[in-house]
Amino acid sequence: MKLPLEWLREHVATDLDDSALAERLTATGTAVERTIERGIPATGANREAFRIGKVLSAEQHPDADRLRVLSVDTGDDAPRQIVCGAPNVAAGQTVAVALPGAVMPGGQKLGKAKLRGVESLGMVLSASELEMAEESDGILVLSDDLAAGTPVLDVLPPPGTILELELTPNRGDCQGIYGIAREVHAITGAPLHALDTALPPEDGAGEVGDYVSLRVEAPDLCPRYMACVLLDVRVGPSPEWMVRRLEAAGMRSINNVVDITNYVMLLTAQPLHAFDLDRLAGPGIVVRRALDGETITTLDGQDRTLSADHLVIADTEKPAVIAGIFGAEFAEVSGGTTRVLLEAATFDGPSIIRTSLGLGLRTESSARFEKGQPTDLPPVAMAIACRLMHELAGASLVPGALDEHAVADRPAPITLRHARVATILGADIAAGEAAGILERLGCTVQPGDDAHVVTVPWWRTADLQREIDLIEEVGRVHGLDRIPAVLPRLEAHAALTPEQQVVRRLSRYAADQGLSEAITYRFVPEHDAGRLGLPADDERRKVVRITNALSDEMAVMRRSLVPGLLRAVERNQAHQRRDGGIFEVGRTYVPSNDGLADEPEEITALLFGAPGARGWRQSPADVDVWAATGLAIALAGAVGVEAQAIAGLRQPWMHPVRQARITAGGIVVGVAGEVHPAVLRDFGVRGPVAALTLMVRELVKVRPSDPRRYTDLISVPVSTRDLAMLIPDTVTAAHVLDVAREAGGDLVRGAEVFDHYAGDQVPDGRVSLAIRLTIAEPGRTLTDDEIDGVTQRAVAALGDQVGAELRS
Amino acid sequence: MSGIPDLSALADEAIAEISSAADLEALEAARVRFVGRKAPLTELLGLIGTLPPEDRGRVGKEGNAARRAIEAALDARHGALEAEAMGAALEADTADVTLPGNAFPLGALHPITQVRLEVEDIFLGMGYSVADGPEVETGFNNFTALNTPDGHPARSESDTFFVEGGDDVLLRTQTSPVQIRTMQQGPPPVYVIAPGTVYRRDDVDATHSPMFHQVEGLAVDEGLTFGHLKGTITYFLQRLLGDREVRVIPHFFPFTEPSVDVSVSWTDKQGRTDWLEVAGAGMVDPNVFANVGYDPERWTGFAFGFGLDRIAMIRHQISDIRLLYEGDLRFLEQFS
Repeated sequence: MKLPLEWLREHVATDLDDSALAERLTATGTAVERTIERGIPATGANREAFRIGKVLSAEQHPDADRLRVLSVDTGDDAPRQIVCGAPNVAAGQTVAVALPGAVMPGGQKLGKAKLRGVESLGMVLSASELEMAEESDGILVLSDDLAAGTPVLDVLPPPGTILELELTPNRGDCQGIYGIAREVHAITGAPLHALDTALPPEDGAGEVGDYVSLRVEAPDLCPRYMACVLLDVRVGPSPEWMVRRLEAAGMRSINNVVDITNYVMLLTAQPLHAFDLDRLAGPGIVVRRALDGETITTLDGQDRTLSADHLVIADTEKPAVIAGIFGAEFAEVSGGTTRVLLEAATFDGPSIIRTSLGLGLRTESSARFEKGQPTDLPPVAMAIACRLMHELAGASLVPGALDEHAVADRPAPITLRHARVATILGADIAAGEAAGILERLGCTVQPGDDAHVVTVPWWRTADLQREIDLIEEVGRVHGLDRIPAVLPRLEAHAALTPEQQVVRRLSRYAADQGLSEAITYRFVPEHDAGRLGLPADDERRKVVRITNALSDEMAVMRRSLVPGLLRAVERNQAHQRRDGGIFEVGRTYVPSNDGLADEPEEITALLFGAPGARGWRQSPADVDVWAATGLAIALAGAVGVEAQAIAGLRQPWMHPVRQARITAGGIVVGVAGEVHPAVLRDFGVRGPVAALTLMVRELVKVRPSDPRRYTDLISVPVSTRDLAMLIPDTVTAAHVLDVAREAGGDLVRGAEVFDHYAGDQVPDGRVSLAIRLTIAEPGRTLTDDEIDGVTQRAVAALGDQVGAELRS
Repeated sequence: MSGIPDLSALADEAIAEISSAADLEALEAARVRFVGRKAPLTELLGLIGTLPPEDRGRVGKEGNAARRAIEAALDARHGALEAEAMGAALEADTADVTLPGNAFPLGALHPITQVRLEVEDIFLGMGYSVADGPEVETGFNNFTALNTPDGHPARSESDTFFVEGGDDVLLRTQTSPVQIRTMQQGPPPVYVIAPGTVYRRDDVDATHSPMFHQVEGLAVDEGLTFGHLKGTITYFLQRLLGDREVRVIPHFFPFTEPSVDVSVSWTDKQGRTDWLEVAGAGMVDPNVFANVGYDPERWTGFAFGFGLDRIAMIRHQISDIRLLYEGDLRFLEQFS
């Protein structure tokens, strides 16, 4: 909201200068977003540099169609040559001129200029250049009474400072300048001048009921409807002071009648509507819900279709206003209007919001009604408007007003306990100070030793209803900045949960391995499931679907982090990034029966190209299934989980056979493998890409909770035995190790693959595999026989169970 | 006593020769000559038994002293010559140490994660737990219980994402519903923060994202005041953003009263200092306590919330929020 301080100061006589006032408003909750200085900066130098000029002649510029070369008398000995581009400039005009050296409203200093080769010793000003209006069609033409050389500052005093305020939604009362004046009174103590709400002479013939009838059919949506009739109205331009105030507040002048409604709205926060009484059928006003399909042509010339959700102000035949929001063309005040029906009403805020959103129409009026105006406000605004109609449009007010409103209960007084103020704010604010603050806010305070009994003024009943509301007021006017800051003393009882610890460790470990963490949008296109090749009946096609998604690309909540990261890889490859590692830790969303979702977390990592250091003696390899399984097992290990890669997984989005289940503690904790080339193609990604996913809940489940126990393999000899063998290529390494471990028994402390080879010198259908067994028993030295016994049992079992032929 | 050499002169001669031995070979020759098996000193010491009894003690003592001195000189010279040889060999083994060493590439945590971890650690240190709640949330928890009634514009389809098939189920628009869930789980005292992802129906541009991140904080206890809120938020922001001025100004939120906007003083590249809004906060509204069954007469508390994206953007001078969600490694790898 734009607040012209000149207007404000008419109502509250504060000593604070503009910037101090802005600071105080902000500090008490009426945030000043921006301070706009308008007009010529009033400095001594500018008094000299901005002068009234008389255009003596205006000739065409020799080299520019649009420019004129003027000779202007600016009160100096000789006329001054000025080049001007305004279409409306002409000889004989009285204008405002800025001379070289003038400091313009924006702060820049004017110099001499040459325009298309012709020297210009100044500038003829428009209203917009003086920042007196938002826009202007040409130069400002002033009264011929003004003498050349007169300082412009004496003729056009600067319109002054405008504060742009950000009002909080609870302060509907501050949507008018007088509301801010009340607030300034409360926060500074400056005297507040009462609004003059005296009616003009009621000199119209008859009484209001003779002219128009009123029926409110929807009192739930219209708590109060008030209308007056004005006769002998002379529609014409508004006086200069009103035009300037409207412009300063961001509105344009239309004509005196419309301007009065806007002016009073800006002042009081009560929107008004003026009808041409003679265009209303009946004439009668009906406040009712629209009929479904009923249409209205609004002032902007648009036809709008209404429904029973919308409240309208109709005549006896058709809607004349979408209530509180926008009027119809047919009933508007125009040049020929002589009889005006003036409306001041209040409407249900939520209904205004729904209608405004539904029709995509938000106006100065609807913005004020959204908050719900007090029913005491319409008569105040009506009186001021009628008086202005009398003064500025020569109108005669018909005695009486149509006025329908339910008798509202006055809210009960509120008890404000002194102790409660300290309990909430943590500051000792004297009971007397609290009472003073509330009284300045317009409350009636009946003081007490333990508590005040407070009656709230009608303009604050919407947001001051409870003790806590009053405490807030006391706190903010007292100054929250004055309340001492202290730290609570609490007994520490905090620790991260196992899930939180696991997630932290996984992320840190992945980053330490050279991968970077991405955060991708958690809403994804629904066709991701198809692109991953999930069958039609796959459980993972069940998704949380957004009804009002921004686009198809953001239609459903993800079930996997893989598609989002594939898109990230695609973007990286698009700018010539060949190799890299990227991961994300985050939730997936599984719809649940209660309409909500289960939201398990996972880590997914993608490796593409040949990531790793590439240098004068390092050359990383292209990623493959083992890059994925290795990282998956290392990540699990980082959170204390000993995991294994097991064959036989069939994820449709991965290479059919180069993929593995990652298991630990007897359950599947994740998957790892190469991404299927067809999936890469559909996502526009170049391979190879290796991927892994680990599920956080599952890792937490199998993560050992007990501390590791020390095993004494230090004071005893530890033996190793290597076994090299040919095995059928259908047998997995994991199986070979399992068989060897199983056969060797407890003495086998470890079993690992150290060589693997297939090709020349290995028969078809066979693979050469070499494993190393580590054999020991804590606290005891094994005999050679015992050690040999282990290897013999392993060899025998491998021969029997996997068809291994031992090589030696 | 002729026939017995001057032992001290012999030792001096030997030490002089040893010290000047140019290499290990010369040193070995000197060793053989002065303390070898055939050396005069060795032979003399072997003959001590043949000497007259009155000479044996003196000759034995002096002879052994000379031998020890010579052997010490031999050891010293041997060490020196070896060190010299090793030094020379090492000098010859040149390397360009400016060539890149073995690389251990470090990836990066996302800047939002980095800020979140710091925030968590600050509050963990103050005794707060880290709480969590679902992103697919009920309208009751996200709005109603937080004093935002039906019909409020924030609850409209233009501002909030709704979930198909649910009865007023939505993507949470703030982390504040975690307040409700935490309080429903048990009685006070409560000291939690809840970092998380939130959603609002904003079109994507440089300053808006339909998905972003917040941290919510909630403290409920006996005797908590607005002064404690100020103390907590000031301490936290100064730990996170450095020793800056922190300002609170009154504001409005449906679920706190009094409510404040929290700003920190910030000096931009041009050296201008201004207030930068970073958080919203306030005393928990008694209605919210009533909604979760806490007695507002007994318990008081405060809540605060702020955007992690915004703090990350301020800290790292990131001007476009879209960069946070594109997974561009050129961006992400700058934060390792």
